[in-house]
Parts: sequence; structure tokens; C-alpha cells
Amino acid sequence: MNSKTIQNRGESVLLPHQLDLIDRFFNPEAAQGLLVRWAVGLGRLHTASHIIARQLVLKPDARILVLVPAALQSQIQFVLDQRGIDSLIVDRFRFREMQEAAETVQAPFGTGRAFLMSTEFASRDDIRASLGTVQWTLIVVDEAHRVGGGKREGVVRDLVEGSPDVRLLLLTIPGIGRIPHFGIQQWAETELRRQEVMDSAGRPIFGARTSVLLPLEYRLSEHEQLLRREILNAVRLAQSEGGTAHTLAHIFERALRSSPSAVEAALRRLRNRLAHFDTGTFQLDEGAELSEIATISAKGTTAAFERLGVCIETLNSVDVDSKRRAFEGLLTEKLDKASMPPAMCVFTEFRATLHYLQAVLDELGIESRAIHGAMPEREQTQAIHEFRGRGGVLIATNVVWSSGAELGAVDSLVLYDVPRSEIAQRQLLGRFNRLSQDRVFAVHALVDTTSVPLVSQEAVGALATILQEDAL
Amino acid sequence: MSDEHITDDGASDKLEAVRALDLVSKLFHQVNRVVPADQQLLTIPPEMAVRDAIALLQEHRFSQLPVVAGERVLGVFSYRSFAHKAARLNASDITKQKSAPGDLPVEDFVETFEFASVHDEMPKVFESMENDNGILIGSHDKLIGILTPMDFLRYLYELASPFVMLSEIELTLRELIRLAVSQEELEACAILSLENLYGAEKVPKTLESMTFDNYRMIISHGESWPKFQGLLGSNRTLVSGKLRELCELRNDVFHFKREIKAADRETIREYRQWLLFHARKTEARRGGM
Repeated sequence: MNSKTIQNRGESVLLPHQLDLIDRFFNPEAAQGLLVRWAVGLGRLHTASHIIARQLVLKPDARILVLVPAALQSQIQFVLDQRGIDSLIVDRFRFREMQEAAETVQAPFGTGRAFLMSTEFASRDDIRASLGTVQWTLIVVDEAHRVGGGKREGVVRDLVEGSPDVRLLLLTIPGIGRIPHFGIQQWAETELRRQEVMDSAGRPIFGARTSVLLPLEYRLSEHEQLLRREILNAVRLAQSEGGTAHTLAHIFERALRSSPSAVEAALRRLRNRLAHFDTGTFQLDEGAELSEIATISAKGTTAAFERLGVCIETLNSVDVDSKRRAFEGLLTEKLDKASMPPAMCVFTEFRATLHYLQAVLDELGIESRAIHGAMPEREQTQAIHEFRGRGGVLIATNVVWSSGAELGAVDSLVLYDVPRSEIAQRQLLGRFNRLSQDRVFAVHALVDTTSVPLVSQEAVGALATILQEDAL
Repeated sequence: MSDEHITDDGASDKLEAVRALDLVSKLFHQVNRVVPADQQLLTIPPEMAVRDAIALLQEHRFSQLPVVAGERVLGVFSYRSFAHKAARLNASDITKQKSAPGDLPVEDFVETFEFASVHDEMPKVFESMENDNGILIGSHDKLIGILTPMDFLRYLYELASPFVMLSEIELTLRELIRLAVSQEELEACAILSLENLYGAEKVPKTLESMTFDNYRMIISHGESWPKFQGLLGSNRTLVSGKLRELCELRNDVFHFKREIKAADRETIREYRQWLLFHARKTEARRGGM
């Protein structure tokens, strides 16, 4: 494969920065490891798929490992399939089939293909041991910023140690701090922001984006504040009996900032788990960070069940929701200007909040579409396709960035929940910032001015910095 | 333009096709699906003392452990295999060995297990389950896993429980609607909420001919809501949001749209509890049990 040839597949063309990366990777003088920090939407995975394809042409018996978040595996397999690359998504069931077909159970990884697996799966003791029995030619780590520290970093480090000639390609986004080098001495790094991307004639592809950050402040009523305190007290009582003290309260504070639905779902889940002595991990949503997973280790007492039950009842009887009111105010304002908001995306971290917001929009007579991680992928794709075609309101959870959806035509983004980490903020904003997007982009962030410390205000500050960087 | 994202319908169809091919082995309920996904095989060497092996069984709450020398499976050590063979030991055996039973190596107490392939059909292993209380997966030189009757029970429960719980939910919801409105009122509510969807002539009139989403639309309609308010909670938006999620889950389960995961089962169970609570409350109000 000649990387100097632009691959024109209708919608897919290799851009100069992508061609440069491929050439740089295969330069005989190239370092063993290459860290690619490209802004969301610049084609990191697309370019990586070309590198994998070329590697297999140069060395047909190569063994290639692609470590990728589980949610992206199918999509990456599709990209690899387009390059004609034989690939296999390896989960526990596939691994057993491979073991049965292989000569030895320890080394079922053959040559001439790419194996895709999640870093979490690769970190399991037996899988880690099995991966360590073979010599890898190329390891690609997508979302490398998630691999730093602990067992996950150890897996890659072990593989590098066990395969001295392996090439390592790490993919991440700009602005993220330290990325581990996994024991490799020779490193090269490339960073690219959207303003630096040129077309083949040397012209900038992106204009400076015009973004406006509009904080939408609201203040909780006395009643809401009281209920919030009662809920946290009930959770503290429950956690002192059956959970990890710090984490449970932390999880609930996030739910409390989101919506009554998110809190109710959290309370019901906690109550059921304690009632059924269902020990093990406790998390509220699919995108939970490690620090947001608690452990239920004991059965709750009658007092805790009753307190949690009273909170659920009270929550259902309260009809004041200040955050919702602020959101409705925004919608009304937009609706005053047009019969329908032209293309608005509403982001929340909780699936329960997504359904709550759909109900809110129903009540207002506004048609909406929704995407979340538990939806079949075909339905996610269809919802995005319809939204891109007809506009209106799309309510989305974290899946909006992990699925790789393209939402460049969105005029306004409402952060019903402001993403809590800078990485999440960058990834989310990147989805609304694709090639050819040059319209004014309004970001409305709902900010609770009641809470102390003002967590959402801090997050909004970080958001402003990111938008400012992009506009430079 | 980058193609790391989905950009057109044709692409998404191809993506589905790739995915479907990858899922072929997941579509049939063969032995591979029954062995727990998180199973990390624990084996013991033949020279391990019985005392230590039993401590391992207790620690991991297992009933049996494969005994492996190098790559070769020698058999299985279990409470049963130990009891069978220990019961046959007499005082002179113990004196001759100069050891208490707990100090003896596990190799003296192993029993043989059958092997199954990951591709075997479930009924093929029933006999071994009954006779040996388990079966090994793989072969004598390639041990891949172990399957027990409890794994079967858990697997079948996980498979069946969403259907059972959702049928309880749907039937309860119907009964609660019946308690809230008369047939005449139901028809009037249906016209209010469903006319736009079906057209005036085709609005379904009975609960049996309506979909779960029809129930949601009827209950959460602004004008009908006062009739249902007391039955499911007083916050219309919260109730409506819950019914929306339930409807999605119900359709995913009954139309086999996707794999139902542990978190989904947990959510369905929570909604079942929610309806059970309201059904009990309604029953108590009406002077029932």
C-alpha cells in the first residue's frame, strides 16, 4: 500500500496530516513508540487502520493487538474491515473458542490478523498471561489516557517487555497530561489541533470556530435543598451499614445534581441491593469512572430501608424542579424565535435523566429523539441520522462521544449535566466540531448556584478554557 | 473526511453485517455461553495437601477443583471425591501412611470427569451434571473451564427472568389501569392520547389490543393524568420517564433487539419492585390482602 496515494472511497480521503503520520510511523528511523495527540475528529483511528493494513502488507505474519474501549470495538472492526484487515474481537467466549482451536490453551493468538479487545479484559490475569506468551509486532492503544496507572498500564508494559521489537502506537487527544511510555525508551510524539489541519493545497480546513458559552444558572428552592440533605443522610446511614462510605455519597451527589429521576433510580437500586443482600459493585451508569464504583458488602438494616423508602416517596411527591424550570425557560426562549429549535443536543450523564427529559419535552409538546448506551446500535444510528436530517432535539448520554457520532450541524448544545472531567468535556465538544463546521455554536451549561463547593461552576470554567483554545 | 464515525446509512448497514458475523457464535445457547464469562479457572497440583485444597474450596466457595500436572488434567478433587475415598480408608491404611487424611495429597482422592467442547449443545452435558455434579470444558491436555449445575441454573435464570418480570410488570400495569378507569373512560383516554398516532377510526379500545407504549401515552397525557395520579405516584414526569424506559427495555427483550445485560436485569427488577409497591398500596386501600 502506498500512503502517497490518497485513498478516495467516496467519503473517506486521507488528508495530508494522516499521510504524514503513516509515513512517519514507517520511516526506518522512526522511534519504537509513537504518541498521537490529535483533536477529536481528525481521524486517529482511520489513520491507525491504514497503519495496521500496511503493517500486514509488510509483514503478513504480524501479530497485531488493538486495545480499545469495549463500546468502540465493533466500530473499529468495521473500519478495519474496510481496509481488508482480518480482525477478531476477543471477549471471554471468543477466547475460549480460540483456546479450543489452538494447539495450546496458553497461546491461542495466531498471526496475520488484528486482535481487538478492551483493556479491562486484557487486564484479567489469565488473558494477560496468555497475551504475554507471544511476540507482538504492533500494539495500538486507543484512548491511551485511560490506560495510565494500575493493572491496565501493567498489561501494556508486560507486553512491551515480552516483545522487544514491538511497535507501539498510542492514540489520545491534546491537552491530556502524562501518558505512560510503558517502558519504551525511544519515543516520538505528535500533537495536532483542528486549526493546524491543512488540506492538500496547504489551506486550513477549519476556520476559527465561533463558540459561545452561556451558563444557565438556577438556584434550588428551600424544599429541594432540604430533600437533598435528607437523601444524603439516608445514603450515609445505608453506607455505614452496607457500602463504601466515601464512594456512595460521591455517586449520589452526582445523581442529585442531575435530576429527580437519576436520584430515584439511584435510591431504588441501593435499596434493592441492600434488601437482597446483593453484594458486589454498585454503579449508576455505564460511563462510571473507577472512583465512582462503590462496593456493597453487607445487608442493610430496617432503619436504612425505611429512610431510603421515605426519600423515594418524598421525591415522588415534590413537583418543584428548579433545574428543569431553567431548562424549560431556555426551550421557551428558543421556541419563541422558531417553531422548533433548529438542531439542539441535550447532554446528560444519566439514562434516567434522559428519559425524564424526554417526558419533559413530551409535556411541552416538543418532539425529541434520544440515544443512550443501552440502545441497539442500529437504533442509535437511526436516531442520529433522523436528527441530522430533520433537526429538533436530541437527548444523549455519554454514548454520544463513545459511539463516534458526527453532530457537526448542531447549533446548540445544552449541558444538562456538565461532564465532570476535562477529557470527557473535550471528547464531547469534539463531536460537535467536525470538518466543515463553521457555524456559531452555542453551549448552554446548567449551573447550580446553591451547592457549596460549586462543583458545576468549576466544570464550566474548564469548559470555557477548552472553547477558548479551539477558537484561537 | 475521517471515517472513524458513522456517516451514512450504507455504512451503518455494513457495520451491522460485520457485527452479526462476529456474533454467530453468540446466537446459539451452546456450552460456551453457560460457562460464566468471568470464570477464572483455578486448578491445583496433584501433590497439594487435602487440607490446603479444602481450604481453597472454602475460600472460593467452589465444590470441586481440577487437578492438573503440567498441562495434563488428572481429574477433579471435590468434597464428594474426598468423602468417597476417605470413607474407604481404615485405621491400618492411615497408620501405614503415617498421615492424617488432611495431610495426604489430593491425587489420592481425585475422580474422573467427562469433557465437553465449547460448541456442545446443552442437553449433551445433562447426564454428566447429574452423575458427576459437573463437567470439564476442553480436553485432557487443554483445560478451558468447568461447568457446574449452579452455572446452568444461573444461566437459565438470567435468560428467563427478564421475560417473567416484564410479563408481571405489563399485567400489573393493565390491572392498575383497569382500577383507575372504566372501559368507557379508557376509550375516551385512548382517543385523547392515541388519535394522532392511529387516526380516529383505528384507535385501539381494549388494553389487550394496546401496546406498552400506548399505556404510557394514556397515563402520562395531561388530561388523563388526574385519573392515574394516585396509582403510580404523584409526579407525572417521573412516572412518564419510568414508563418510557420500561417500554424500551420491554421491546428490547421481547423483540430480541440486543443482549440483555446484568444492569438491565437489575433495572427491570427495580421497576418490578416499583409496581409491586403500588399494587400492594392499591390493594391495601381497597381493603384487599
